[in-house]
Amino acid sequence: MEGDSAGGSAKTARDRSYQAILPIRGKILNVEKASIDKVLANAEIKTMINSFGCGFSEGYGNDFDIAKLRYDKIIIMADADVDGAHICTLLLTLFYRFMPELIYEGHVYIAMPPLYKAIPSRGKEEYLYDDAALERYRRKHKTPFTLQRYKGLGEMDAAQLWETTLNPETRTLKSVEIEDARLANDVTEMLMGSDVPPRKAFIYEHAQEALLDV
Amino acid sequence: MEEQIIRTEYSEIMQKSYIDYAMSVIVSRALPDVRDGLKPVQRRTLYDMHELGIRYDRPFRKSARIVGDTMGKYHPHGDSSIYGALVVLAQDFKMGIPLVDGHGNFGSIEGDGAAAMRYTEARLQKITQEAFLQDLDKNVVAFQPNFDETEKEPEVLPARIPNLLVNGSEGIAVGMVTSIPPHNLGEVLDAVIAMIHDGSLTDQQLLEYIQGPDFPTGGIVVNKSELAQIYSTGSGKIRVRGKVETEKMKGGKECLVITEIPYTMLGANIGKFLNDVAALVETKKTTDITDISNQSSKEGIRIVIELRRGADPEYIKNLLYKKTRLEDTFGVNMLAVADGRPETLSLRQILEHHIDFQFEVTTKKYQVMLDRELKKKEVQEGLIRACDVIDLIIEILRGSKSQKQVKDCLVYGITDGIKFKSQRSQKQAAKLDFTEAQADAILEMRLYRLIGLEIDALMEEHKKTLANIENYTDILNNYSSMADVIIRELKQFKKEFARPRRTQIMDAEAPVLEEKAPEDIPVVFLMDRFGYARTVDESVYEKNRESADTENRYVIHVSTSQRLGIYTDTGKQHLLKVSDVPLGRYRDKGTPIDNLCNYDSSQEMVINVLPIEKAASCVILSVSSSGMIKRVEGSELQVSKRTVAASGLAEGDSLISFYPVRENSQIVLQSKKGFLLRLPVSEIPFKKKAAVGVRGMKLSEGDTIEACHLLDAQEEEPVNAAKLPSDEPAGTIRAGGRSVVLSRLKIGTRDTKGTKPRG
Repeated sequence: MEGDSAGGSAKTARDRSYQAILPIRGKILNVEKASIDKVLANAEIKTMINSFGCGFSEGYGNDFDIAKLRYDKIIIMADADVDGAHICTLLLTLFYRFMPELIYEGHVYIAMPPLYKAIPSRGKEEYLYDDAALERYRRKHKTPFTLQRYKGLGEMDAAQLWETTLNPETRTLKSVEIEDARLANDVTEMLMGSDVPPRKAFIYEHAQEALLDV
Repeated sequence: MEEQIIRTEYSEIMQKSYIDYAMSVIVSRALPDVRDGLKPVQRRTLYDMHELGIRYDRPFRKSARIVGDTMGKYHPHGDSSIYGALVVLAQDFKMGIPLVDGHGNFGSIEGDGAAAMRYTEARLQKITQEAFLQDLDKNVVAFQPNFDETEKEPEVLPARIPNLLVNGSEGIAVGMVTSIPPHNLGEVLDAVIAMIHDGSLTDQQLLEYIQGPDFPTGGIVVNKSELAQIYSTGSGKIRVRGKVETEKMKGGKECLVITEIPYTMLGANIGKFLNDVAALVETKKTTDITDISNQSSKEGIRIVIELRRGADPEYIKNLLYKKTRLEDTFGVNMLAVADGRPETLSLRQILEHHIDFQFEVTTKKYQVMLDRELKKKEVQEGLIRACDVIDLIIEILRGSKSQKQVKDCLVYGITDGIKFKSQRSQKQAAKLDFTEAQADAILEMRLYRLIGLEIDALMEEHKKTLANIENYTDILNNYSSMADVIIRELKQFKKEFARPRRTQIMDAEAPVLEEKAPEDIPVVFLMDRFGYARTVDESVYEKNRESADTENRYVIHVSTSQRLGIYTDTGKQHLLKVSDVPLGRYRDKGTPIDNLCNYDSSQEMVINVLPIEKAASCVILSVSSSGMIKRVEGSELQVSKRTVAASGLAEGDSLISFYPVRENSQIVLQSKKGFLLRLPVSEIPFKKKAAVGVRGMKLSEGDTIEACHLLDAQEEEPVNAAKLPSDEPAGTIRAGGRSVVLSRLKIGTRDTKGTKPRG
């Protein structure tokens, strides 16, 4: 699965014997706000349903069957910036609302591409996956180093992408699980639903915790 | 390394991702900063142009270069968003004060886009340089590293004018939007000055300086009295109208000329407005407009609406205000980022933030300038003293082996290792106590500075420096002195850049449309069995009477001021204004009534159409399929709601008949299984229209009423009833497979089974 401008390198990078890439252009529809026929009319969503092979819980045949899922891991791979985060929430909403078993049975993962690459003048370069790692790196390495920030997956070439994000030997994944089903439902409704005031209140309340992206 | 899997909870990751996204959009994308009134993309573009030296007095540079440079250095997002921001900054019809000087096609007021960025060129405006980008070298604002830490960018521009008010802002963030109208620079600066003098001014008092918004498109704000409320809460609705003038045309006709549009009509909405006016004519809302043309040009907006001879221009003006977006609302929500948080601000709060920022910037600026002067003073004092002992210094220089020796001697009086001509010199040298900076300056000094006049010049400069220091210290230490400096600067800006107000502010009545009693023309309403309706002139009807009567199910004589009621099997009455039905030629197909009223042909079926005004004096008989009947006063149908229940119905029941009857009439109820019951109308009780009614006929299991016949239908019925196609002669019906003459049936009583005619 993919953000926007990196489908090509991801296809080159994967191990085609057991990895498939489905590029998704831009932001998908917010299914929480859209009507079911609009959801089903959406080309991006249709492709997703077809490629998962396990049907759909509503409309579209009502034929969801987790046994037919074609892949063991569905990995959301989005840019490591806030728009990537947004795409992530949109996709998770889709899965949660229409194919919840995918999440309940632990098939949904989120890839973690690196945020930075530190290139010291001597020695080995290192990928850093979040800001905390960058801080640690700064403390450990007093010598000056060049920092490359990855805005999008498109900035990495195929080899790098394989090494950092795709290779099952080295990659880091976040598995998405639901323990508190009620909370999951409430959160989805609040964040993605069409009722604005609760969302606004949430934003004000949590404003300080946000990691800003400039 | 093994594959690492971090377990995360769905709701946590949703919340975390969402708040990051939402706050980033709010703080660093869609909302302006209260201090400089700029969104990050605008700030970065301006700063980049400043760094590239694309000043107002230098040649234009290609927009693509600016966009590329901004994107590469500060704004790692799409190029279209950067170019879009640049274009808007240059549009004089969008901005109160354009901040960029554009060359080439930067779009038009009618919504045409700018040329591609490889064609257009741009440079900064003078005011941008002077009021936004001054003193960046004096550390007046904090700088932050850019996205890859290779450049520094200012967190905010040191704007000297309250740009948030002057240029306004529009932005859609997550869960919140901002919409601030532009204001007049001169007025806003006056308000700032007044508020610096007296910090306790209320919003109300501030409105004496700032009359209201000042849109670059002009127009008229018509709800002056509500502005105080809007500005003190930071949100509300401003009503703005376009400016319309009346001009005489050749041949005694008049036309309306729109010379200023409301700000909200900017862009593609002008085209929409023209279409709306055309639609007014097409739907016969007015017949007085003969032509409309958009003659806007470089002289400005000019939309000409030609009127029919003898038309009332005032009436048409009001019609346009009321029915088109020539009067529109500008929704105000003064949301901006203040201290890193989105906040809805009042006018006063915006100005307070601005003034605080001014004092902060000015303090930093003068602190830096004072430090520079103090350094200068130190050096000057050193040089002046050095001139007095220049012979000794030369002796030290000549007697030393290294620069360090000389410096140590000048600063600390260490004379070790220096050869002096005399003991006295050495003693004097030991007393020297120049500062490091002074010693450096002395060593760097050129010999020509020893000329008498040069020394005088140095003294003169020193005096100036001392005066500056005194001045700067005063500014830094006294609020009023700093206020004076700021005010002087603001007055300078006002003198140079302010321009007269363009938008008129007043209170005006909401446009009243005396529904000019649309001339009451008698017409004939025709509706065929497919629900296509139209009206034709009476004369047209007379000419085609025969075919009209056979081709249409409903033929009703009405006049254009009247209304019709459409009655459906679901028991509803839908109102239909006769004036809304297209008046056409006889052969016109008409318009489906679905489009003219709330009737929905996919949900319900028409059972009758009645002229409401005429029906008022009648008594209506209502019959449902389960056999419930009642009489209703026709006056009850006189309602103004577009859809009401015409008859109460039990669950699953449907309306069969709904037509006017006379007191002395008789009806025959016919059931599906062939039972007939003849009843005098006088036996049927009167009920309210929402009532279900009483049982008219006892029905056996599974039987329903099929029809309700009027026994003595006369030609001069008060109002026409539905014409049902029937092959039977008048007064007879087909029941149980044979003809039955209604008048031969026995008169029965209500709530009986009736009779079944046998063969």
